[in-house]
Amino acid sequence: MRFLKAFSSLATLQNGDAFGGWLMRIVSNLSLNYRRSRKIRSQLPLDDLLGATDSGQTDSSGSEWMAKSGDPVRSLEGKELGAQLMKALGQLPEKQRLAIVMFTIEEMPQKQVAETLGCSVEAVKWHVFQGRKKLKELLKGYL
Amino acid sequence: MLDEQLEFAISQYADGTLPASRRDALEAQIAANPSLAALLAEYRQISNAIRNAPPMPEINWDRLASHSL
Repeated sequence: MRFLKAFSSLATLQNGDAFGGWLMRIVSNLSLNYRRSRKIRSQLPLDDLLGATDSGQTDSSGSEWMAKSGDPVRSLEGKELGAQLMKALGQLPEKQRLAIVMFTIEEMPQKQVAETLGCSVEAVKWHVFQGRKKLKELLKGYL
Repeated sequence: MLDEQLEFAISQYADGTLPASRRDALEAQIAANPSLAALLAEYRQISNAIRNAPPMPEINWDRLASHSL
């Protein structure tokens, strides 16, 4: 399905040589979007740059998610961790980031990750290891 | 300094992907060395954090695109 979406976006690709990286970026973004769509999302009010979610929920005051969570401080800490995690993931080399997104977050079998990335299962394990090792360093103050 | 291959094995063990043939030996090493046990706990913690991190707020890209930056 993700690859179908990727191919439907093929017309937006300007440079044919960049196809591999372009496709991997789309898969990575869709993976993250898919993960987000599995959870109930809340919105923080950043004027009109943050809009309604796919499910049509809005939260203009921030009070809704605070009411849903029993502990607002913990929720804020969790959101801060989430923000730092996204930032840290963005700092990883592409294969490490994709391996972590697909294997750790989406829980895809390593064989499938290997096929998607065009590498061996051992290489997937290595990418996950190296990526997670870096994340461990980058998120030291947040865990 | 910790051998990288040993740390790699611990990472796989945390994921449950370490080959069975190597599992017993690694478990014995971990049981005998508290720093390895702590490292295993760290890898499990980071994996849980990645899996359970709350989603980021959604940005309305259409609205953003309609703004002149």
